[in-house]
Amino acid sequence: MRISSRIMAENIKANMAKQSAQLMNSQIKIATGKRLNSLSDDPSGMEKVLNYRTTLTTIEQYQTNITGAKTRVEYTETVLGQINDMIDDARAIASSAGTDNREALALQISNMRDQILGLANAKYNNNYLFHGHLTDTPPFDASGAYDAGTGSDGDNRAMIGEGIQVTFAADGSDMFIEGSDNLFTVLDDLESALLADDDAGVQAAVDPLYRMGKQLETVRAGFAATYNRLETTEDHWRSFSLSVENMRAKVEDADVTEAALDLQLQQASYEVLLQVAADVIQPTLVDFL
Amino acid sequence: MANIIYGMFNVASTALLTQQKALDVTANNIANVNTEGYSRQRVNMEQNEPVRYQGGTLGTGVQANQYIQRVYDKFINAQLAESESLSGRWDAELETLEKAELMFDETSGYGLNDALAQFWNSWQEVANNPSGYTERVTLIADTQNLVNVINSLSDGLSEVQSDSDKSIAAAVDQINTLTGEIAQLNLKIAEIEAGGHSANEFNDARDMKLKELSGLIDINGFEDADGYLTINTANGKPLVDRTHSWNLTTRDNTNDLQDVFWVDSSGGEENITADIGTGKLKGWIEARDDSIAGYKTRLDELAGAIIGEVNTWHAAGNTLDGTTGVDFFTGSDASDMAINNAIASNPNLIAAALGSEAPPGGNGNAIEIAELQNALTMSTNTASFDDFYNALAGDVGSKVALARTNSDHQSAVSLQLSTYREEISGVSLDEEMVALVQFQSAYNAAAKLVTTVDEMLDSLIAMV
Repeated sequence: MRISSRIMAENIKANMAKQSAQLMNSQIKIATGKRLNSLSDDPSGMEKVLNYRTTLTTIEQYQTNITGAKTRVEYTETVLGQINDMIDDARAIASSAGTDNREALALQISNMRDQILGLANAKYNNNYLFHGHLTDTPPFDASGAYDAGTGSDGDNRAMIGEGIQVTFAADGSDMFIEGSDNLFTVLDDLESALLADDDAGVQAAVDPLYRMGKQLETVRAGFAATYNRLETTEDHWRSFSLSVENMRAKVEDADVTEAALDLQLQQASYEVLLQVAADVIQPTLVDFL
Repeated sequence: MANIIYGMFNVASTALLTQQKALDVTANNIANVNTEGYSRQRVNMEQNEPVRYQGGTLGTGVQANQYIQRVYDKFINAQLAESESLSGRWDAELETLEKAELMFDETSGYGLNDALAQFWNSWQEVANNPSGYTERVTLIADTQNLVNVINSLSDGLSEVQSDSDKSIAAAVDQINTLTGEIAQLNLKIAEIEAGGHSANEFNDARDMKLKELSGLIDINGFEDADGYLTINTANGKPLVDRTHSWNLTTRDNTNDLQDVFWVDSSGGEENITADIGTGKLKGWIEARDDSIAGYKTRLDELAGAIIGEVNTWHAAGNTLDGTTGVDFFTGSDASDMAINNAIASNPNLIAAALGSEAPPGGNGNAIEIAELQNALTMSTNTASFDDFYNALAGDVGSKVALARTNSDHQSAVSLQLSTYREEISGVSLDEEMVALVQFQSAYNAAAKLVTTVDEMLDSLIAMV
C-alpha cells in the first residue's frame, strides 16, 4: 500500500473528529444527567419516556384531585357529625323532657336549630355543600324551607383515575328532609310544643328526629366509604407513580458512573491518538537528508 | 573521433534537460502535496534514437516524453463521484431532519407532550371547582400555551421546508455553474490533447467539478475518445455534451414549494423532480416532501381531532352564565388552531356543566372533556391524542437516526475511497524526496560529463 502524505493527515483528522464527537457525547450525558438528549438518541426510548411523562403528570393531577376530595369529605363529615350530634341531643330533650325548665329547653332547641341551619348552609371553597349544582345559593332559607330549584339534586363528582370518578352526595333534601318531615320544621314544632307545655307535641318530635338521625348516619357512612376509596386510590397512585418514575429514569437518565468511566476511557484514547499523530505527522525524509 | 566527442556533448545536454524537467515535475508534485484533487505527475523518460557509427550502434541520450503522465485510476474516480452523491443525499437529509427535530423540543420537557398534559389537567382543575375563576383563567392560559406550541411547531416545520427550498434553488444555480465550467474544461482539454500534450491540470479540475456536481445531483458521465466528458441526468436529459451545457431551473409547485426543471435548448421545461435519485437535491426534496410534509399532516390531524372532539362536548355544555356553550377552539388545523376569542375574554363562557346539569356546580362536561385525554380518538379509534403525538415524536427521532446512520456510513465509505484514490494519485513527500535526490544526482553527473568532455577536448587540442 502506498501511503501519501494526505492520507496520513486525512486519517488523523477523521479519527480526531470521531473521537472528539464521542468525548462530547459523554460530556453532555454527564452534564445533563440524561442518556437521551434528543429524539434521535433513542427514538423508541424517547417515545416511552414521553408516555411515562404524560402518565406522571396525569397521576400528579389525580393526586391533587384526591387531596382536594379528601379535604372536602373530611370537612363534610365534620359538619354532618356536628349536626348528627345535635339531632341526637334534640331527640334526647324531646324524649326525656321534664316539666321544669321547659323554657330553657325551648331556648336550647332554638339555638340548635339556628346552628344546624348555619351548618346545612355550610360552604366549602366558597361553594354551598348541600345544594347540588346550585353551589352559589344557600339550600335552606331562614324559615328552613328547602330551595328545590333545578339542579339542586345534582351530584358532585371528582376524577380520581382514568374514567374513574367518585360521587359526593350533595343534595341537602336527602339529608335534612325525611319523608315529609323537614328537620327545621320538626325543631320549630318541638320548640313551640315545649313553650306551650304540649306533652303530646314534644313526644311527636321523637320519632322524626330518630329517623333523621338514622338517615344522616347512612349519608355519613356513604362519605366514610368514599373516603376509604380515596385513600386506597391515593396509595395506588403513590406506588404506581414511583414505579413509572423508575421506568422513566431507567430509559431516560444516564448511568453517571458508566458515563464517567466511558469519558475516562475516551479521554485516554484521545490523548493516545494525539500523541501518535504528533509523532507520525512530523518526520519526512527531508529531516534525514 | 571528434564526432563522438561532440555526440557526448549532445548526450550530456539531453541528460541535463531531461533531469531538469523531471526535477521540475517533482517540484510541482511537492508544491501540490496538499492540493485537493491533485494527481501526482510523472515524467516518462525514453532513450533517443541510436545512431550507427563505424559498424556499431551508439546511444544518443535521453528525452522526456512530451506527454507528462498523470497517475490516476478512472474507476476509483467514478466510484468517488458516486459515493459523493450518496453522502450528499444523506447529509442534506440529516441536516434538514435535524432542524425539524429541534422544533419538537421534547427532551427539555417543554414540548407539545407537556402542553397537552397541562391542558387536560386544567380541565380536571375546572372539574374540581367548576365555578372557580382562577381555575378557569388557568385553563385559558394553558389552552393558549397549547395553541402556541402547536402553531409554532407547524410554523417551524413550514420554515424548515422553505429553508430546504432555498437550498434547492441555490444548488440548482451551483449545478448550472458547474456544468458550464465542465463544458469550458471539455473545450480546453480537447484542444490540448489534440496537440498530443497532457492537460493534467484541467483533467484534475474537471474531476473535481464532476465530484462536486455528483454531490448535488445524481448523474451519468462518460469520457469519449476525444477527451470530452458527457454528462446526463439520471433520466437521460443531457447536462453537458462536448462544449455545450444545459441548465436546470426551479418553479413553484402546487404546494408553493420548488420543483426542479430541466430546460431544453428551445427553452421548454420538463419537471425532473421525481427522477432525482441521490445527491443533496434528493436529500432536501425527500426530507421536505416526504418526512416533514408527513409530520405536518399528522400534526394537522392531531390538532383537527382535538378541535373537533373538544368543540363537540363544549358546544353542548352549559356555561357559568347559564347559556349553552360555544365552540372552544376556532380553526381546523395546526396552523390556524386558536382558542375562541369570546371564551378567552370571558372565562364564564367555559361550559363546565353538562347540558343536563345546572351551573355553577355542574362539572360533568369538564370531566368529559378531561377524559378525552385517554379516549381512543385517533388512528381509527386505536390511539389517544398522547399516543398519536408520542408516536409522531418517535418517528421524527427515528428518521433522524436513520439519516445519521446512513450519513456516517457513507462518510466512512467516502473516506475509504479517498484513501484508495490517494494511494494511487496522492503525493508522498518521502517518495518525492527520493526522486529529488535521484534526479539531482543524475543532473550533477550529466554536468560532470560536460566537464569531462570539455577536458577531453582540451587534451585533444593540446596534442595538436
